[in-house]
Amino acid sequence: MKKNILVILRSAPYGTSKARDAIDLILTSAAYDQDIHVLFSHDGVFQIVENQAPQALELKRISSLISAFEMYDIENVFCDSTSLTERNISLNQLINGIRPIDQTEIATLINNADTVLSF
Amino acid sequence: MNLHLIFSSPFSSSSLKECLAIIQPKDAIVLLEDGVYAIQHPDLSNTSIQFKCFAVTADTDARGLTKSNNLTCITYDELVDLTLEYQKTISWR
Repeated sequence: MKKNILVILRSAPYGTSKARDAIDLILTSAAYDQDIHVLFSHDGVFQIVENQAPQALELKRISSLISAFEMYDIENVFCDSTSLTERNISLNQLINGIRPIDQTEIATLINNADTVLSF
Repeated sequence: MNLHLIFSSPFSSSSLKECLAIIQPKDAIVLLEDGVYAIQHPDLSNTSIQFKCFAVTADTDARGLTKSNNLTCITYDELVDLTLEYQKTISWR
């Protein structure tokens, strides 16, 4: 059965495994042909900032995994514009393919989802 | 002379704020793990107390952060040296 699944990523990358776990779940759900929506909010917006270089920590680059969403036909990828402003992040610092949305649009996103998962 | 280690993002944790409330002039702050996001937080630049501030390069590079001028970049090996230089090390997780 196809479900509308909204995954909210609220955690910064690398400090914990939450970001990586959420991305694994997103890619797996997409492989099972689910209707995936992704929202980066709060410290989660740090996952979509360009120029990440985690080689010294021996971790995979989170932003590269997110850039691969398109290949999995995950096209509904959003970020919370308020969270960007709070963290002094400008739109040109972000990787491509992510649409900033406001609180009203976030409410709609949640209302339209069958399931909401938060990491 | 104490060394304060900030491990968590100041945008989702009160660690930095709590540390800055009690920090003394000869102390130093080290930003590491998600604590390096303090580079982008106004609380760190707006404080009136003068103290040295360090950030671990492996963690700033991983997160794509640009380093500011009033910040010394260190490696994890240099962090070990710092812990020996200061009387006490206080971890803010």
